Amino acid sequence: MMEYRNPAGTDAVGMAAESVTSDGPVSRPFSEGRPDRRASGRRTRRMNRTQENTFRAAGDPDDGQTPMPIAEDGQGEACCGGTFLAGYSLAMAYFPDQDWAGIYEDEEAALRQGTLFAALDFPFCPGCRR
Amino acid sequence: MNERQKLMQKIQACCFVLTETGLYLDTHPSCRKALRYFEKYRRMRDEAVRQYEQRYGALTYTGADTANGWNWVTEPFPWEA
Repeated sequence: MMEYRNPAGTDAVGMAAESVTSDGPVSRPFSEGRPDRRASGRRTRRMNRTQENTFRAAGDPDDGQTPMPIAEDGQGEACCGGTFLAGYSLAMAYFPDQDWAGIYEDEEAALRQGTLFAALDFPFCPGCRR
Repeated sequence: MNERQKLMQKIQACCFVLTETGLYLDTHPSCRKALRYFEKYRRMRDEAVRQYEQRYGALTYTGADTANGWNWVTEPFPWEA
């Protein structure tokens, strides 16, 4: 299975993304597959690297054009934390497509479990490992 | 658990299944199995609500019986069951 990641320096302008395979990263344009709305519309202006870094660090400003300033103590050399996957966006998430399968037949059991889907049934149990 | 409580529990469980199935359908709007499942539980929920309101009074404003006054306030509220 292929895992998609947005490499540093491209996600803010929506020009390209990378597919990371067992053979290593391979560039692909966003135009492959589903169209990416970020590539057209309000945020199409190219930024230089400094602007991109500032933009990514500060999040999406309301007007989509002006990079948000970041605090002085949030810049410069990292004082803690590692360099693992340095340059990649923080906290990228994924989820697989859900199938209509493993449906609890007893609706009252589903209500007790808090989900209709066995695949999503993860009871909150501090200290437990599942 | 008395009959009224059992019926209420059935309604709550059906509503929960409808919510779960509806959330699934938000991202899989043409899944026929899910659509059939939703219809099945909507019928079950509607029937359970009909039975409850016939026996024990309105569950919500929309189930209030106006033929003999405003029974929403003259009968026990659903949460008093």
